[in-house]
Amino acid sequence: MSTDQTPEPSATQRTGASALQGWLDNPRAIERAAYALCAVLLLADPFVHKYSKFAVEHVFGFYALLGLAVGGALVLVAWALRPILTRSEEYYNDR
Amino acid sequence: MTADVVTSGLLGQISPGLVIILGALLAPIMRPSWRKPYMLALPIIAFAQLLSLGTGVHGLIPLFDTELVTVRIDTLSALFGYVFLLATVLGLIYQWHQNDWVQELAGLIYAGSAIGAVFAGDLVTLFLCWEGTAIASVFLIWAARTPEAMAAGQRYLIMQVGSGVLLLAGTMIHYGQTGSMAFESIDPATTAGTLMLVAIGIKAAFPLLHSWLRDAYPRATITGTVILSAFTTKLAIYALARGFAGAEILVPIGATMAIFPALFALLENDLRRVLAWTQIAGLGFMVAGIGIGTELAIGGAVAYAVCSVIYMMLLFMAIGAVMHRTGTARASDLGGLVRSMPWTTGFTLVGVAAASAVPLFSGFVAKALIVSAAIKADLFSTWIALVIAGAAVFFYAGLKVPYLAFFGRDSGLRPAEAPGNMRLAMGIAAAISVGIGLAPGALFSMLPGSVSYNPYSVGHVVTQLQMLAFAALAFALVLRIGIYPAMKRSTVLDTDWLWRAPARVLFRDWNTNWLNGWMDIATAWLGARIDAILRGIGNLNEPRGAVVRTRQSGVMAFWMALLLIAFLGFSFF
Repeated sequence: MSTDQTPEPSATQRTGASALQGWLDNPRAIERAAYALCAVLLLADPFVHKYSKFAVEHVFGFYALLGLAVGGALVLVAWALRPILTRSEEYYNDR
Repeated sequence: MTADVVTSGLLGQISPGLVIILGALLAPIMRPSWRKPYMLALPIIAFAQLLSLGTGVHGLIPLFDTELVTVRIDTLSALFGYVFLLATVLGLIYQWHQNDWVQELAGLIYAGSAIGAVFAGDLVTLFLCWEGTAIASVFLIWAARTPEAMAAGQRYLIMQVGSGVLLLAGTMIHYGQTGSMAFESIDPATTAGTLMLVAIGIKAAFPLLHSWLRDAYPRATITGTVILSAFTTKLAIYALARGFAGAEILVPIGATMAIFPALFALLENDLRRVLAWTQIAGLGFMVAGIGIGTELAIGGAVAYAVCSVIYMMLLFMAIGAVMHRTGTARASDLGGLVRSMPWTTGFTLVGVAAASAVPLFSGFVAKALIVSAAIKADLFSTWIALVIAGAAVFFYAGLKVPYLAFFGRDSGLRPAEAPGNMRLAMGIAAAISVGIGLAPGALFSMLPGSVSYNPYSVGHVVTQLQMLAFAALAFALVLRIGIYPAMKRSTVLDTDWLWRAPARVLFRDWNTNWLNGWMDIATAWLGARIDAILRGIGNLNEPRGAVVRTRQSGVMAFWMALLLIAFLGFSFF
């Protein structure tokens, strides 16, 4: 396994495009665009045809709510399970 | 065994898998500069063999009062054959920079066995290839030559060989009852069917039988994990599609598989392990699809298997490239790598987009078939489980992996970009993932049955984007508030704790344990032989204490003996 890292950060500036560097340093613009996209997608909801015969799918913003809820629920579950499931890296002492 | 029945006609009909296996045996004696192009030629020759054989059955070998069908080419097996050959090529390109003939030989025999298994028309050929994949692939784990890899490899081998023992037991009972060795649809309600379903279930990583995958893949070598991810589990998906299409039990099993990795993956620090969980979730979709059993669902499962081979390889390749350059896949030690590894970052984003079913990427079009089949079959709980699982995969793989490795907190690491051969392999895999997403018709036309489906309806695209965008919003909010679980160096327990913890207590002081006396005698014979093999491998490369520790092979030999005894027991049925 080689670990040949580029020694000084100045070499990085050359490899990374400046636009990329720009939003890495200031991700606010991307964030605003993302919020706008979320809003547009949600507002489009009543105008698209949904196929499934399950009533719940036709509730306004069902998929948006589901995406948000699953994300939130995963984090809550992770916090709940962390004390139960997490051990030190050497736990099994590799056997 | 087959030497005396091989006729000149038969020689021309050898399995494409055997072409690779036999060809691979010559590779170790070649110089690296010759070996690399030679090995790359093998899957291409096998492909030519596959095309020259054409649809139908070939390589028939009489055995007792039945007949082995060593090559059966139809729509289903041909598609898996193509994608396995493609995976072999990708794996060879990815490991081009590396000079380790043990891994190269193991990888090719493993790939050849998997291809042989896909084309096996009877259960005996299937079993032989099935065990071939088990035994060859473990060397990709052991080749990491760390104590962790040695131990994980043993656990892996016990599970894989155990799967083979169950398959053979099922085969013998099936033959006894039906008089047929043919590998066709099998009734899961019979004893033979149940045994075979469990055997396949181990390889497919059914819940509670899955631990080997999460355990061993992150311990294998960088290139080994890439190759491992392609074959074993997808071979199991093929076997399910062939033998158990429409088996209702597979629907709840698949839905559970799709969801439960979410409990572990968000806490997991090792990014290759996060990917292993992602792979299990993806397999869940396929298993559920096969269980639903309609033409659309089976087609979806097969299409998803094809896409998943490529995008899982891509993801393991990308994280492997990070490991190659930084020496770690721990999220806690990484971050901000986009600054110096923009190509690898881009390939990772394509991989997670395919895995998370982002429109225009391969996973989207394949998952759509399965989800839509669940709707058509009126399976509400399966449908909702798959939809939730899809959002979860995006959250813990699609967002977490790129964010923690390439963006987020800057680790200060400025590794060089991945070597050219790795970038080439990733580039091909990424191009295929995008290609299938943009033009799914080509893949759909190769599926068994007639699947005509347009995944790009406005409703489907918009609802999927809604779900993904709002899951991303949840991710951003959680980070903003600061409640995203911080990554620490840790072990996240899995269900295998249930037997590993008691085993740890029982075998803690192996050398002074009461078991030691009789175990040593019982296993000395077998142990000496396994040790000799391991020593051979150890000496060929860097010998380390861990590789040749007697205790390791003692435990190993004990389990092997147990499996052999189990096998003997089954043979009396």
